[in-house]
Amino acid sequence: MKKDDDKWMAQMRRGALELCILAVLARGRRYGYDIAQAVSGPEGRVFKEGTGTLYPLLNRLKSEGLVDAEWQPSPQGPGRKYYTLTPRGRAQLAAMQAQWLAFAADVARLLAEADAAEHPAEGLDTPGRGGPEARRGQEGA
Amino acid sequence: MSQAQRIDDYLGRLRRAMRGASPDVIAEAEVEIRAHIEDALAAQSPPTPEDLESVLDSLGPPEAYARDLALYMMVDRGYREWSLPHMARSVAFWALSTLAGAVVVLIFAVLYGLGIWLTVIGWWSALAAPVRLPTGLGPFSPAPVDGLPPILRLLAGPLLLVGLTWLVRWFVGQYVRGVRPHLAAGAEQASGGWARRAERRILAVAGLGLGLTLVAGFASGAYRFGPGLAPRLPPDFGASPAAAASGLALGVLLLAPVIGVLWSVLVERDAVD
Repeated sequence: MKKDDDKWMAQMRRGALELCILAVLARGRRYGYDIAQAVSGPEGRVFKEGTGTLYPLLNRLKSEGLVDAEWQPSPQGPGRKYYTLTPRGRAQLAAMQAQWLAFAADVARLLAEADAAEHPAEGLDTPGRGGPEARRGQEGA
Repeated sequence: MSQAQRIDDYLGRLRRAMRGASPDVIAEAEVEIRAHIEDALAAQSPPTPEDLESVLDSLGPPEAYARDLALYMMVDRGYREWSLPHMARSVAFWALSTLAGAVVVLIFAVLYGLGIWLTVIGWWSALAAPVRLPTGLGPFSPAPVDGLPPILRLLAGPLLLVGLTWLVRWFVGQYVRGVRPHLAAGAEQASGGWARRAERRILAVAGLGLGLTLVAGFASGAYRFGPGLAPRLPPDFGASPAAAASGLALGVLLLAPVIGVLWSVLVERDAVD
């Protein structure tokens, strides 16, 4: 089961990573390590390990004209390669964001329906307490 | 091993995994990955050997991403820059790295050969018409462009070559836009993912089929060259075991993509790319 979970998460990450990188770059220009940190987040759910694979992806986004890259000198070393979002990248981000939100809403609806079907009595007997969020709150308490 | 040596060791593996790419592409990738490592270490104060190992672990083995990185950098340059040596090197790297590249380059190699041949006979026919070679000698006689006006004889081959160059560039552009790098993390991706392994199996099957069909075919006399260097099968083709083996190997060669994919599906049923 753990192996299946890992595969599923790997596929989720692969699907979401491009969107996450574009979203991070929408806030301004960034270099490789900075992007990896921003995408990973505190929990590291989106981009936990294998951050080296970020670089082929950045180069592909560059090939597609979605990002630009520029070397900047650094006082500490040989310099850093900064990536910025192009106008085409912004348009792509807007389109992907709309698709993602619609997709996430559909998935959330399906999960809520599945949850309601699995626990019909809770939903009827205790109004307002049968939803997944309410249950999570009860479990956490 | 000191911290600097450990970093150099990692970057050495990166360089080796990018072998075949242009030196400037490898150097650029190395600088960027070194900057990543140094930035990550700078976040720890002071960094310990464990911190360095943690940074390298989080980057993953360089073999897991170096080939994709080199391929994208090379192909992107070959696509953007109109430098013939760079384009040639990028396309060669593409052909050596992916099955799609190998197939496209093979087809275009044949077409380029046709373009060069047309150029040679066109120029020969237009500029050296009085000098005729004996009938049947080499590819120059009879010249298939004799009926064309001289200007077309001169331009047909070069125009084909230029057109093919545009077309190769277009294919490379499509490839850049169409293929995603392998993004699953971890050492299990070091061999390049399911698709890459399937490509290697296809190439192995095709190589085996090609080798066997040539060796058995020529050894048995099943393959011969007729006049004008045109390969020709004898009427009793398949009569000897060696000729039959050659025919079977030819079938393996032609079915290599199907065999390679089926092989991968059967061997790696649970693989996720």
